Order: sequence, then C-alpha cells, then structure tokens
Amino acid sequence: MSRRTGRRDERRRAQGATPKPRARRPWPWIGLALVAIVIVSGLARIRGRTGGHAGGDHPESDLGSREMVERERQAIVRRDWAEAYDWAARLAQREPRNASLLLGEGTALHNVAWGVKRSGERFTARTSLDRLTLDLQAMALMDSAARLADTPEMWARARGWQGQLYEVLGLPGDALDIYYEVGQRVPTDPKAIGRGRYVLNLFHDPTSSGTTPPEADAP
Amino acid sequence: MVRSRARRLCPVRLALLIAALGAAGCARRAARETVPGEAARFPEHYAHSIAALGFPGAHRAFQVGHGCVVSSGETALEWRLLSAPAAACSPVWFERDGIPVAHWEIGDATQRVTFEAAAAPAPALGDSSLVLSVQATATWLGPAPGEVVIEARIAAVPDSPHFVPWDATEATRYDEAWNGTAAVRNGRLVAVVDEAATLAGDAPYPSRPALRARCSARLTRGEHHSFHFWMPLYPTALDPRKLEDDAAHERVAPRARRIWSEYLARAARLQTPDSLVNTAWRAAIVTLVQGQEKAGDHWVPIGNPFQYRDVWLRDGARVVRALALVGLTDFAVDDARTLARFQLPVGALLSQHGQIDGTGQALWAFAQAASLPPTASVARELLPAATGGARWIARQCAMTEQLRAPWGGLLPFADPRDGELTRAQLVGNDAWGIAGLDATAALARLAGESALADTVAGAARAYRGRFLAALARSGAADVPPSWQGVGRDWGNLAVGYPTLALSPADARIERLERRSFARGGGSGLVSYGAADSLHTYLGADLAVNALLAGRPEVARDYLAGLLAHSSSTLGQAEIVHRAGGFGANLPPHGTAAATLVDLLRTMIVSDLGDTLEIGLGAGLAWWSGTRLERAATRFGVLDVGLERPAEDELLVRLSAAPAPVRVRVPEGMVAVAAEDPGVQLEGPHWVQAPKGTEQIRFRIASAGPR
Repeated sequence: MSRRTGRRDERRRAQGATPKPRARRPWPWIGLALVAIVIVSGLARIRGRTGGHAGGDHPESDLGSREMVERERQAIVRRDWAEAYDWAARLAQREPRNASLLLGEGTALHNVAWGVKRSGERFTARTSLDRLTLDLQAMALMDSAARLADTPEMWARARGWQGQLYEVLGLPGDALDIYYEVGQRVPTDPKAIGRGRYVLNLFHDPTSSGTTPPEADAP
Repeated sequence: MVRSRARRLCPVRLALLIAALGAAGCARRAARETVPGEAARFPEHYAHSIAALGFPGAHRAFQVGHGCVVSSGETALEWRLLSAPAAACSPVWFERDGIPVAHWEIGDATQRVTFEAAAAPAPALGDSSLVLSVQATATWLGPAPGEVVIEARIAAVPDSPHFVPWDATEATRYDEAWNGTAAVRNGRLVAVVDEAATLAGDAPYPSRPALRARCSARLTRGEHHSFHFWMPLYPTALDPRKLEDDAAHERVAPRARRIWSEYLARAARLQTPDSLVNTAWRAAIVTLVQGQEKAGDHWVPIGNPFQYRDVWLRDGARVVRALALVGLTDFAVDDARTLARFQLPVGALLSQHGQIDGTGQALWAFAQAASLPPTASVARELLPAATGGARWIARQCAMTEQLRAPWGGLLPFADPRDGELTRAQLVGNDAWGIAGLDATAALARLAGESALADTVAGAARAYRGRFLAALARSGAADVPPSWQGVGRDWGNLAVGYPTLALSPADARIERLERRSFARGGGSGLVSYGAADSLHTYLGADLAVNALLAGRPEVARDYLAGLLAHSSSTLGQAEIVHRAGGFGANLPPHGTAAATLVDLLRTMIVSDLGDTLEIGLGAGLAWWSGTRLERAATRFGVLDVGLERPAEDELLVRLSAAPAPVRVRVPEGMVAVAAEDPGVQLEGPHWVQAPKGTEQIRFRIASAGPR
C-alpha cells in the first residue's frame, strides 16, 4: 500500500518563491446559505403522514415522511449534499403539489451545485456550467413552489429563497427586485425586508460591510 | 507620383534586393520550421519546465515535466538514468512545426536518453480519455561500449509542481502490483513499462513509489536502443492486451502528428521573419484547441488544461474571438453557443459568483463568432440570447439610477472574487456592458433586424455618454478600477481595446498604459499584485490598444516581454515571478494564448473600424516577408502579405476586401511615393487604397533623426 495523504501540500510548500495566483475559486461555503430551515418547515406541512409510500423502487420507500426528513437533516449535518438532495427529491415526489417540499428540493439541489467534496477543495459540480445547470433547475423548483403556494407566507418564502439564490450568485439587482416584490405583496415577511435592506445598503455603499440599514426606504 | 517599373530593375536596386534577401536568409531566427518530428529547442524561461499533452474533447491532459516525468494527474511515470545519476534533464520541447509531441532528454558525455511523448485518443478508452505513449531512446556516446540503465517509477503524482484533477480518486491508500509489465493500482491499469524491463519486487511503503522497473541496454558508440512506456489518461479496468495496439508508439505518435497537423492546417497561418513568433502563434492555437472540452454535443472553452479546467465567461469570450480569428470557426461558434447556456431567466449571463461583466463579454463573444467572417445564420441564432443580455444590462443601469446610487446609470456593485479583489461598482463591468450593447447592435444588423439594431445602438450611445460623464466626475488621472476608487487594475484595462468604451486614442488610456507597464519594471508586461509578479495577459488589451492608437513600440515590447516569459513550448503561465516561478498555477493559460493570437493578428491586420488597417505593428524587419493566410475578418477571410521588394519600396499583397485599406508605414520610415494605381499617401505615416485593392506598393525613405 502506498500513501499519498499530505504530499500535495508538502510539495506546494516546497515549490519555492512563487507569485500567489489570483483567487479564482469562489468561496466554497457561499452556496450553503440555503439550508435546512426549508426542510424543517417542510416537515410541518406534511399532512399527518407517517408511513406514506412514494411508489418508488427504493428499499426505503416505505419510510415515513418524518423519518425521511430526519435522514435529510442528518445528511445536511454531514454535508452530504447528494444524499440530502436524494431525500428531498423523494419527499417532493410523494407530494408533488406541496410547495414546501418543492422548495426543499430546490434548495437541496442548490446545495449540491455549490457543495464541496470531502477534500474541501473541489465543488461537487465539475464546471461552472454544471453548477449553473443545477442552479437553474433549483430556480425552476423554487418558482414552482411559489406558484403552488397556498398561503401568502409560503409564496413569500419561496420567492425569498429565489432572491437569496440571486444574491448567492452575485446578482444583487435581481435579488433586490424579488425582495421588493415580496415586500409589496407580503409586507409582514421579515426575511425579505431584512435581506432587501441589506442589499439596498450595498447599492449605496458597496465597500461597506452592508450591515447598517440604509437611510432610504427598504423596498 | 507613379514611378515606372523599369526603374525598379536597375542594377543598383537589384544588388540591394539580393543583399536584402541574403540578410534575410541569415536572420537571427530564420531557421527551419517544418521538419516533422524535430524538437524546437527553445529556452525555458520558467523555474519549472512543464507542458500539456491534451486533445480536444478529453477531460484531462497529461502533464510532461518538470524533469523526466509524465503524469495523468493521479499517476506519474518517472525516469532516472541510473547509469549517469548526476545527469540533468533538459526542458520539454514541442516540435518545430508546432505539433504538441513532447521531447526531452537526459544524459552526459557518455550516454544520452531522448524521450518522445505523444498523446492521442484510443477508441477503446472512450472519447474523454487518451493514451500517452513514451519512447525512450538510449544512445551511447562514449568511445568504449557501455551500459545505459534507466529506472522507471510509478508514483501517484510528480515531485515537481503538478495539479490533481477534479475527478482524481480521493483514495489515500491503494494496492499496487505488477501484472506482467502493467502497473495495476486498486485493480485498474495505470501504466505499462517496456516488455524487456526488469520489475522490482520491493514491498511498497509510504513516501516511496511502490512500483519500479529497470531497463538496460549494452551499447557501442553511436548505437541506439528504444524502450516503450504508455499510460491511459484514466485508470482503466481494460485488459492491457486489448490496448496494446492502440498504445504502440508507431501508432500514437503518427496519429497525434496527423490530427494536430490537420488542426494547424485548417487554422490561419502566420509567417514572419521571426521563427519564435511563428512558433508562438502555432503554440497558441494548440493551447486553444487543447482547451476544448465536450459537454453533450457542444464544445466548451476551458481556462487551461490543468488547474483551470472550468469555464469563465471572461476567459471563454477571449477564446471565442481567438478561435474565430484563426478560422477555427466550428470551435468558435460552438463555444459561443456554450456561453449562451450561462444565461439566467433574468437575462444575465454569469459563470462565476459576481462576475457580472460576463454578460457583456458573452454578448461580445457572440458578435465575434458571428462576424469573423460575417455569418447571418449564426447572428440570427445568437441574437435572442444577446437581446436578453442587453435588456438585463439596461435594466440594471436603470435600477442604480432609480435607487439614486452614488454612480447611478451604471451597473450595480459586484464582488467578482477574482483579479479585481474588491466589492464595488467596477469600471470594467461598465466597459464590457457597453461592448455588449454594441455587439448586440452588430448582431442585430447582421441578422437583418435593423430596427432592433438602431434601438440597441442608441442605448449603447447613451450608456457610453454616462460612462464618459462618470469618468470625468471621478477625477482619476487615468482610468480607475472602480467608480468607488478601490480595487486592483483589471477590467479597467479593457476600456479601450477591446470594449471601445473609450476611443483607443483617449489620453487617459495612454496614461493608464504608462502607469501599468511602469509597474512591470521594463519587462514589457504588467504586474499583478506584487510588483515582481508578472501577468501574461492582463496587459494584452493595453498592447493592442497601443497599436490602434499609433504606438506600435508598446505592442512590440509587450510581445517581446511575453515571449521572454514563456515556457520552452511557448505556453504561458498566468502569473510568473520575475525569477521564473509560477507556483501551482501551471502553464499554458488559454487567455494568454488567445490574447497573443489577437495581438499578432492586429499587428498585421485590423478590422475594428470601417477601414481595413494593415501593418499596425509591423516593424521594418517584418516587411522582409510576413504573410498571414486565411485570416478571418469582418470583411471576409483574407490573405495579407508584407514584402520589401527593394530597400526603398514596400508592398502589401492582400485578398480583395469590401473595405478601404490603410497601411501603416513602419517607424523610422516615411512614405514618399505611391506606386500602384489608386494608392495614395495619407501623410508620411499612412498609405491608403480603395476597397477591392489587391496590391499596394509605395516607396519609403528614412524619417531621419527624430
């Protein structure tokens, strides 16, 4: 048996005086902004199911929804984004018109797109094209969740996550558009208002930390 | 005044012509360039000599070097010359005709082993893999017979700088064994050594490669003996016997040469009196083609064969233009289609977090793919995506105005986490936004959508006006990186060429150029970050801009600096320390290759305006025989030749183009007479001719002391 753990780092150190390459990789953690909260909220919306069947051929297809949610939560804790998505997708398959579960599937897919491998250096998606393809699917799922929402709060939550996804992508203008829309329609939604204030503040002073509420009205 | 042709044949002029031809024959670099299989032994300017052997469609590339080693990224095959342990390994070279078949050697006064490595697709391995064949030929040089002994070692990665691919196994322990002469790791074939090799049976242990093989030959003076090694790009479960035929050196090397010859033959050909420049042109094309992956049915432009095996719109757009310029239109158009897949529902095109300049860059790339040469069907295909992108740009600019942001009417802040190193409203984003609107207007016009073209052109004019007003308001001496004044020079270096947000002749760009190249400390390049870190494409736009602004010496200094900071295979690391180190940022970089192609092409022919401009960067030396064949321009595919038939006469031969032509008189000379019908002098430094002209002959004289 040969071992190669740590050799890469040792050799990088041994490469002598060299310029520092510009930081081309985005922070791997940035994409993990959208996490388990959606799943937890999804759990509350599973209407009394304890042993529903997805109808799939998976050996665990007879698991109860609460058990599936718990397994998804555990996968998230382990940062096993692929498994977390697998559970989220199965949950959504059980109730395809459940907006909360669709939203959970969308956020889980986004986490797959931006998750990193165990080594901590490489995205699970090989290229930016692969990553964006997954994010576009995630957006579509979030959009479906918004369209299927049966309460203004659920709609606001789904649209809010879409806004946050645009923020994660680094498109503040598009995020702000959505936060404004949510603020107009569901003025009681605290999350979108808060995010909107944050982004708007950066519009006025992008070099600031962005934590101080802006003078101008929030969207 | 038109002079008679008889005068040109007088004995004195004929003697001058013969002398000039003789001088050209003895020129510094006018060496043989087209001998197949012969190594082009250029010096290595980097601390480590590393080259890539890849192929379009493959998802990895083999790394050759530093030293006697090849690597797939997770398997390294390394050689030592046991019979001359103190012998040093040469740099790695490609071949004189630009073919990426690698050569290197090791030896001393008594013996030498030359290596030849070629990579090619092997049908049995699938279309994203390759096979690498290495032939090591030992030659005895000493007067008395002797034995050459080579040891081959199988390791995980080379000892020198290397990159571990995205899809390399994350296993940290593995079983290794010989199966015949095949090295097997975790049940998969990783390399095969020569059938005559003696296999070492040492038990493996950590920190030392497990599998070693020894190849030896007893030779007399001048006698040769070859050994063969090969490896797949990915570990494979296939029986090595099924791959033997495909991996034979007699098959791999000719196949690699044939396929690469075909690519290079399809591409525009540049021939100047400087063979280093000619080889650099071909090396750049090889890098651009190697940087083509396949995703589904489409080509994908990646940043580099190793650590940048990903897509950045800011790099991919440059690759699209370069491929279009050299006539590899199929790659260019398909890459443009791939860039369109980065479009979001809101219209923005984005490949990386916060790199909102990607929208303008993608639109610009669409126009390059559709315009070089003009192809209405491509314009029509890409126009919807471009229109969506243009609307997004306009909407974002309107938003900053409505929100009364400090720099309203421009794009919002961005945090690209790249060269700019800041979160701000970036000047380069707006420059690319303007370029994106201009490109959309051009696409619409080419697609026959005149009304749309006029509307978008109007939006571009208004945006340019806001940009100029902001620049004036900024109070900056040249062009700042961001409107807030923070950040590093990056996108702001593109405000002249290629975005044309500002006129290339704008004095602010000249000041920016002086400031940037001064930081490069006379290297010809600009530095990035620390002053001793030179960048191999960041200054390229300033160099091309200088050509357009009538400062060709800046472009030539840049070219010389780039070639002096290139590898022995004429690839460029993205950032290189003045002492030659590049860390883990291995060459060759795709954008450096793309911008080199753009620069060289613009030195010969430029089509940015309504007039075809010839010889913008050609010094007098290049007029002794420069030819650019099959150059794609907005006016069609052209051949351009620069000749100096007599000491005081210059001649341009070109394909007839539907545009007027201007020729730049090389520095140090002035035009004194036009000699062909329709050709006119335009002051001492320019000669002009009407559209359709195929020959422009004019007389020159020394400009005298300046």
